[in-house]
This record gives sequence, structure tokens and C-alpha cells, in this order.
Amino acid sequence: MNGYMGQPGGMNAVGVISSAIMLGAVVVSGSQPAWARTDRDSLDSFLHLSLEELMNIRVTSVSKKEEDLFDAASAVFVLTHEDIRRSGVTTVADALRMVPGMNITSAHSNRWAVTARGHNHIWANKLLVLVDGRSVYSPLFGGVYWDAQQFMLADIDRIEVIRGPGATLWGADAVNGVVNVITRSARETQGTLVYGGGGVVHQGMAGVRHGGEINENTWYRVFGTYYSKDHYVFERDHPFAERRSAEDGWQAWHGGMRVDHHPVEDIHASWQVAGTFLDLDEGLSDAYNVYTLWNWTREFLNESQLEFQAYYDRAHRDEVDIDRIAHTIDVIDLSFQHRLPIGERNEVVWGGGYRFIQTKIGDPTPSILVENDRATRNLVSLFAENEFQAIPDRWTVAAGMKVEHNEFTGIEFQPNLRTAFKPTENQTVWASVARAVRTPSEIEAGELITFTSEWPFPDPDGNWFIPFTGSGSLSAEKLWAYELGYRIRPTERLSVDVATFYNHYSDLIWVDDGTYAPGNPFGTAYFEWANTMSGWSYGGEIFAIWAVTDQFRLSPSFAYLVEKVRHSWDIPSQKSAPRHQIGLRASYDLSSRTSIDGQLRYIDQIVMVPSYVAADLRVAYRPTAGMEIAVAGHNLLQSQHREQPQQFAARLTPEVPRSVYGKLTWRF
Amino acid sequence: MKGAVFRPAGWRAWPRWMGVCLGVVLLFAGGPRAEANPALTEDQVKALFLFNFTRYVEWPEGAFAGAEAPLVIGVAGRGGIENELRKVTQGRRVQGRPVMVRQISGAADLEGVHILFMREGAQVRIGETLERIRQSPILTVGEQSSFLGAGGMVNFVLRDGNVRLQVNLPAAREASLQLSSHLLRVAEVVAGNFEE
Repeated sequence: MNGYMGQPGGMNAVGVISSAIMLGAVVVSGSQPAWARTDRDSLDSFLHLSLEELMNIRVTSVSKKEEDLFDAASAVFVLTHEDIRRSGVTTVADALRMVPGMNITSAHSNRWAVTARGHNHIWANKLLVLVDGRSVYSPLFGGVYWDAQQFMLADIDRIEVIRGPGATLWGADAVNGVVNVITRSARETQGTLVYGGGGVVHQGMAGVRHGGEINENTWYRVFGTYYSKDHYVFERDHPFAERRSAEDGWQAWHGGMRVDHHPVEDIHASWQVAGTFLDLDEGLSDAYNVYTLWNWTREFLNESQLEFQAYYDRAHRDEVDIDRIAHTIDVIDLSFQHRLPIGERNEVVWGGGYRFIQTKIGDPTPSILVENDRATRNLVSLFAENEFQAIPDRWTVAAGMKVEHNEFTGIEFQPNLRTAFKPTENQTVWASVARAVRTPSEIEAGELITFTSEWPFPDPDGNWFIPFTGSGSLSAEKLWAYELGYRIRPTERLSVDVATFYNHYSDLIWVDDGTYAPGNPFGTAYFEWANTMSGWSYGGEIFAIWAVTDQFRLSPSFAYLVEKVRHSWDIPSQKSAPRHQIGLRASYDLSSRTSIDGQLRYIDQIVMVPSYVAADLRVAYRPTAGMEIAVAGHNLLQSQHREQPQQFAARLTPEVPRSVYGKLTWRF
Repeated sequence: MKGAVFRPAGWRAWPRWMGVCLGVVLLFAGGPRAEANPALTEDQVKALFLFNFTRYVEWPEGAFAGAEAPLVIGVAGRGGIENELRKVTQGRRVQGRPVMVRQISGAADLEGVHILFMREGAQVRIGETLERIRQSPILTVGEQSSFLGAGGMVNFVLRDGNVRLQVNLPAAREASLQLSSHLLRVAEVVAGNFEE
């Protein structure tokens, strides 16, 4: 209840001096074994090695994936397992802050608004998020509940992010980007892993995973995690809410199992089942998510691939917030994909999917009126894309189309044309043109619920908060995106990636003319959702990964965005996404046992939110090969800072606090 | 609401015990290596292996045009490894012959090749090619699962960060290639028996 009433953070003198001595000891004791400094330009020293010795060399991770990404005709960025571990983030939403071009803001302990290339608000709705191919986008409000996305972070293989319409393959709702979280196969997570820790803000975290073999080609893992996070507080200078708790502390329990089976090497069958339970708003709200997913993939060397997938997902939320309503959403999704070469120079990928969504609404709140308490939707989609090698291994051109039928807006077409050209082996130039759509959320379509109110709320700044109601005649939001990018790897140690874009939006959904009925004391007013805005945005991202030495890596990034959205009322749009975002990540292996990672982030101002600089730091030490002790701090430069403007009048916006935690991980 | 109470575990207290822990822990930093740092990339290790194969395989008489004819290593598919291979083979001789590296983009390039490394992303269809050169004295090397099942002779496989070898002996015999027992000893012989 009193939470954060201490001094504006600061260590006392003893703390500072002892830390300085420790740091000195670390710098002096760190030493580099000579052979670890490899002269990459000459393998001569390795020529005399015997076959056995060659077999025992540990190789850097790599690969086919990296090569594919280097040649990709889209703005793709991969957060590796190491990136996630070394940044010390506790949630996937926070991990996405490392991706250039992503806009992430948090205004509550358990809420994040995540989008790529602009259009960010609490229900940031233009990003498609998948976990192992399962969509976690909630159709009711049109957004992702990031608090429900809990993971055994150590078992995440990578997070692939595509900024820009995620090509034909991903479909509607991938307007501004696609985030795909991919977890490791059970085969790669054998053995037991236990971790525990806690600190300030990230109050407690613990988890255990055990992986084993069922037989010689079947592997499994079972896991469970717990996470609890403290509440945020309101802004420092507010006249009557200074530093008051936002009462949004929460806890999450997550557990599940995964089985992977390879009857022969080129067939992979995988099954997972998991559940997440959330206790939110310090006990006043709750939510749960349970799901199960099957995937069957067959690869024929590099010639063709066939994949089938099915999943069932149930998500339930019951929150006290005035703008939330209890609901349960069930999804059944079936899809398949077939990749095959045609002739010497073409490769076709085609597939389809069917999704069934059932939404059930619970008890109304004072500001939400229930029109229907349930709705079912069916979504059918088909896609095909052909990649043509105009000049083999040098110049490819790909054209694709996805056709979807949904019950709100009917049939939607999403065509896409991409090309990639490699002037030399270590450079790629790419370009793409694509059309993408976002179908209205259930709220916007208005068949289920309507926001209503007795009277308009005035907010402290004197603006009026007027609620919105749904409209049955909405069409989908549309985007035409034009992108151009360039990648170069001038040396083995440096790679630079540039991506630029111009987006033209039309039929954006926001509120149109309102109606007002006089009454006592203020009357009633409401506005209807309509396809009332259009606009454009342009900008780009540039980032580099520089392995300065074998132990020290730097990764600077810069994102630029200009947005202009026009409303039918001719109101000037407000800056909802920062114009500049600068990031710098540094990784240093002091020794083979100790590592330090740091990140600096500069986020430019948006409406009602000043610009800020944030710094994160993590230090980790491995006393033995299987154990790691880490201390990680985030948002270290200020005791708290604001990231979002007020969403609604009369609702104060909490700020993101400084946090530190310690964690012990043990593998055996 | 005002309350001057602040938790003992607040800002003031933590640096002290945290500092002590950090100190104790960090003093042990820099000890003997807990685990080896990776020294080479996957491509570099594979290039070294490919070069080594020239020493551990015997080609039949007709495989070379003459005594001075070079031993040719062909690479089909995803690029990058040719540079490494060239660095390794530059100016060296094996079995009395110079070693050359060639990029393979079509069936015509296969003429006179002795080792063929087929990578992912190869323009040549792996299955078809293996079938076509089944009896030719070319050591086929791959890096994908089921490469051996399709008729390949040697496969690179990654295990726990190490590059390992799998060998399909009957396929090598059919092509009249003799694999040294040294090679067979260290590799996983997946099809056929080890006899020497």
C-alpha cells in the first residue's frame, strides 16, 4: 500500500565503494585464453588437426537460418536465445524493445502496447503475434494480452520479427508486422533446469523444466514457471495522485508439456499443451489461457516440404477495469502448407487454413452494454506464392496472394510482390510492394457489446471522454506498403542492415460523427466507429551488429518514423509514435565465466509523453558449467518514467519504474 | 495515505547486501575455463573436413586424367564455404596432386569433380543428382538429414555444437571409392558394416 515511498533511488556510500572494488577485481581477474582469439583469416593453424580433434571443436551457432535471413526480401530481425537471456528481460513484450522499428509502451504493470512502425495505442492492433504458429491475437479488443504470454524463457529458440506486412503467408492482421515466438524442440531441451530469483518490481520468479527421452526418437519436456510483479505508481508531479500505487500488481503461473517425435529423420511430429493462470490487479481480476497444438512436418531433402497444424486455444479474462468485460474466447484452427519446386528455377509455397472463433461475454459493467452474449465466426483462407530465380542464387522475384473470407467484411485480397538481388555474395538489395488488411475487432463491429455511459467524463486537462459504439457496416482497414532495403556484410565481423518503407493507410477505423441526447445532469453522448481516417507514414530502420573482438559485441540501431493521419473532421492528428528511436546494445564476455550486457535506449517524445533515455544492465557469472547467477537492472536512469499518454480522461497513467532482480539458474 | 513507513527491502537497504554478494561472486571470476569458447564457424570446420577427406579416400585409377590432374572439390548450393576451402587448399598437394575448388551450378560442372559437397539451397536437385552419379567416383557429402538415405556417402551433422560425420558405406563402395579405416573409425557408420 505504501510501496514506493522511499527516497528517489540511490545507493549509499558503502554500496558505491564496495561495488567499485568488486568491479575493479573483475576487470583485473578477467583474462583471455590465447587460443580463443582466432585469426579468422587463416585456418592454417588448424590444418594439422586430426579428424578427432576437428570433431571436438565447438562451432558458433549459425547458419542456414542466418543465410536465409541475409537474403530475405523483407525487414526481418531475429532475437536469438542468447539475446533474450543476456538482456535479462522477464517477458517477451520487454524483449521486443531490442528490435529496431518496434514501438513498445507500457502503462500498467501487466500491460504493453506493442506495434511496429507506428499506430501505437493500448489496443495496438496491427501486429500479428504467433507462438509456434498459434495466433495469440485477441479478436475481441483486437490486440495481444502480453501478460498472458508466459514462457520458460530459457526454452525459447528465437523470436522472428518482420516489420512490414508479413508477406502473403501470414495473412490479415499482419498489417504492421509479424512477431513469431519459436520454442525449442523437446530434443534440444533435455535434462533439468531450475531457476529462482526476485527483486524490486520483478518480485519473484521461479521455474523448473525437465526433458527426457520416451524412446530413441521421441523426446519430451515438462515445465512450470511462476512470476510475480509489483504494481506501478502514478506520476511524480501529479497534484493528487503523486506516487500513488496503481494497484496493478500481478502473478502468473504457467506450465505445460511438449513432445517431439521423429519417426524418420525427415518427419517431425510435435505436440504441446500448456496453461497460464493470471491473478491481476492485486487479486481483483483474473485470466487464464489453455491451449494445445499439433504439428506434423515432412521434408524431402531441400526439395519439398509438407506441413499440417491444428490447435485449440481458450482464453478467459475477467478484469475490474471500467473498459473491460469478462469474456471467454475459444479458437480452433486448422492449417496446412506445401512447398515444392517446379522446374529448375521456381519454388511454389501454397496452403490454406480454417479458423473457428467463439466469443462469449460475461456480466456487463456500468460502462459496457451487452447486445449479444455470444458470437461465432468462421475464417477461411488460401494463399500461394511463387519464387522465381531470375538469375540463380543472385536475383529472385516472388509474387504471392492470400485470399481470406471473414464474416465481417467478406473476401479480402492481400497480394504481395518482392524481389531480392545480390550484387556480391555479401550484399543483398531487396524491395517489396504489398497490400494488407486488418479486419475490425468484435468491439468495432459492435454486434456483441457497446460502450456506453451515463455522462461524459471530464479529465484533469478539461477534455471530455466520450465512449464509442460499434458499427455493423465497417470495412477492413487497408494498407499499401512499399519497402526497400539493403544488407551488407563488409567483413566477417560486421553486418549492416537498412530497411525503409512508405505506408499508405486507408479506411482506418476511428470514431465518426457522434450523437448527443440532452438529459440530466450532462446528457448522453456516443460516437460510432467508422472507417473514417486515412494517412501515410514513412521511415526506416538501420542497425548493425559488430563483433569488435571475440568477446565484445556492439549493436547500434536507429529507427525513424513520420506519421500523418487524417480524420474526416480535419483534426490534426497527434504524434502517437516517436519520430526517433535510438538503441545501443553491448555484450562483453569478461572471461569465460563472467559476462556483462547493457542497453541504452532513447525514445523520442509522443503526445503527452516526454522523450526519455533508458538504460539496462545485466551481469552474469557462472561458477560451474551448469550454474549461472545473474543480476539484471532495467530502466536504471530514472526512478520511474512515463511511456504512454492518458488513454481516457479521468484515468491516470502509471509510469514504468526502475527494476532490479537477481536470479540463479541451474542446469543438470 | 501519507504514512512514513517504508519497507526494509526498499532502495536504501539493497545495495549493501547486493554489493557484498556481487563482490564475493565476482572475485571468483576469471578462473580456469568452465567451458570452451567457440573458435571456428561451422563452415570453417566443414571446410577443414572436406580438405581432410582428400587424404582419407582413395579414388579409382580412371578418376584422374593424368598424374598431374588436380583433385577437384565441388560445392553446390548456399555459398560462403568456397572462400574457406580456397584458403585451406591454396598451394597444397594431396596424394601428389594440387587441390582445386569449383562452384557447381549445373550438371555440366560435375565433369571431373572428385568430392561434391551438396548444401541446402542447391540448384541441382539432390535426389536426382545422387541417383545420376551413383556409380561415378565422386564422394558425395551433405549436411541435411536423410542425405544418406537418398544415396549420399558422407553427412555432416551437428551434435551439441560439434560437427560430426555419418557415413553410408555401401554408397561409397558402389562408386568404387575406398574409405580409409581411419575415417570409418571416427564416423558413425550408418548403413552397411564396418569391415576392413
